[in-house]
Amino acid sequence: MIFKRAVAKLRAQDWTAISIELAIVIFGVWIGNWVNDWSQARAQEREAKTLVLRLRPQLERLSAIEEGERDYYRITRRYAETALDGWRGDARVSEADFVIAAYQASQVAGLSIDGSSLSIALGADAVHKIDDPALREAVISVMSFNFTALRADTLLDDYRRHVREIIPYPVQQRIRDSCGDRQTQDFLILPPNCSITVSGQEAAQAAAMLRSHPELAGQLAFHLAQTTAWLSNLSRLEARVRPLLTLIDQNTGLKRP
Amino acid sequence: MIFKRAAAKLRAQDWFAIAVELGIVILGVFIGSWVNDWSQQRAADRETRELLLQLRPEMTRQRESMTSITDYSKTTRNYADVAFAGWRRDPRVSDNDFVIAAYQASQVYGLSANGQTWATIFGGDQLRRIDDPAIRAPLQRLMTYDYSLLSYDRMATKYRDNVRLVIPNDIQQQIRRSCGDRLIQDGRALALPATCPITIAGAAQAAAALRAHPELIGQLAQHQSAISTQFVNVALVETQVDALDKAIAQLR
Repeated sequence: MIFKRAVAKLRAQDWTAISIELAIVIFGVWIGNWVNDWSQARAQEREAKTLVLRLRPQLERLSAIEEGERDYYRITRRYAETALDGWRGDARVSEADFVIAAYQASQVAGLSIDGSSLSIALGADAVHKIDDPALREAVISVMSFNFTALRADTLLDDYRRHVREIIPYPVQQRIRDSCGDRQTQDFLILPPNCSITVSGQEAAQAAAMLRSHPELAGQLAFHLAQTTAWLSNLSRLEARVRPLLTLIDQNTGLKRP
Repeated sequence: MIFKRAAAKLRAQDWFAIAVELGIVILGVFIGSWVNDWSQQRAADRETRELLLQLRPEMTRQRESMTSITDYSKTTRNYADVAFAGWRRDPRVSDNDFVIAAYQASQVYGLSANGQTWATIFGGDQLRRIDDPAIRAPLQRLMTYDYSLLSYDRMATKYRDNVRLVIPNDIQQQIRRSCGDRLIQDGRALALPATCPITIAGAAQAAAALRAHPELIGQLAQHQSAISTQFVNVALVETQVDALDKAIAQLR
């Protein structure tokens, strides 16, 4: 009896309407999911674009640092040439200039960037979202660069140590105060000229002490070689940063100033 | 027959109402998903903002740390000036003060922060959410700064090693005990007393031993140049901390 009544009730249903409603729900959810996937894909694309766009200021920062470092070492090289002339006894180089140049040639600047932290900050966790393989490769090549090669440590050599042991402390202090490193946000600037007053006696004494250590000239030559090696490491970073900047511009329709 | 009946039933449906119902379902799912994304985005933005605000006490701590390093190094520099005068046999510097100054000039202190932790705490995804370049730029500089440049071992120079080989151990211990490093800022930083008014037994012999090593003068000059480099590095971080703190303060 109960079974019969149930069958009768089921038969009385409008099965067409129920089927249509079921189809609406299935189709609706399917479309909704599809729209959701589509919007997620768009969000991911947007995120990848943001990542790439946000990379730009950082890469420009690296570019500016590279230029700053090159300028810095162009200046120390000029001081080094003057110092080497001083050791050779070139009459055109005064005692004061010799002492100043010997000190300034020992100045070093390195990148104060921690490579692992940089890759986290640049978004190493989101690189896989970049679709363009060339762009992705270029981003990875910058993120995976070994920044320790650009620390100033490699330049803290015998010349730097010894010349600072020999030049009297008050003279060093005066050079540092008047012509020492000037700080920008990301790199150091060394004044190309240093017109401080070192008294004749003070300069003669310091120059004589420097000349009594002719091995310093050799150490300075080694220091210059180290600087060249350091700069070639910098070129390797530049070779990664510049193409990436170009690729970003191409991908985002930006133009480099 | 069945087909005819089914066709008739289908025809009898209110297809306009069905289309409206389908539209409602699709729009409902879409709006639901959009609202979900929007609220997630808002939550993420709120989280970033809160994280930035939470950084302010850290900024204060960083600034205090930097100040403590600068103060500490200035104190050792003053001791270095006295030590140089002692080596010059300046009559105003007693043997007692000379020995103390030579030792205290070798004291060093650096930052014990791990930069990578910073970067991990405030990860790349959070950084990308910051639109304001006034916040993003200094934050990124601080996140990516190589803090090992400010570490203690950068100051471990030849002078520090050698002067401690020359000054007798009992004198070193006496100086350390009375005038050594003091914990400040709830133990987060160190300070070195600016003066050390103790009397050292055997100061004359210790001073003579120091003067028997004139190479220490040059090594101290080199040590001071390392401290000058530390000043430059500290100033660089301080500038960024100030810039970030100022920018975060605008968020309130």
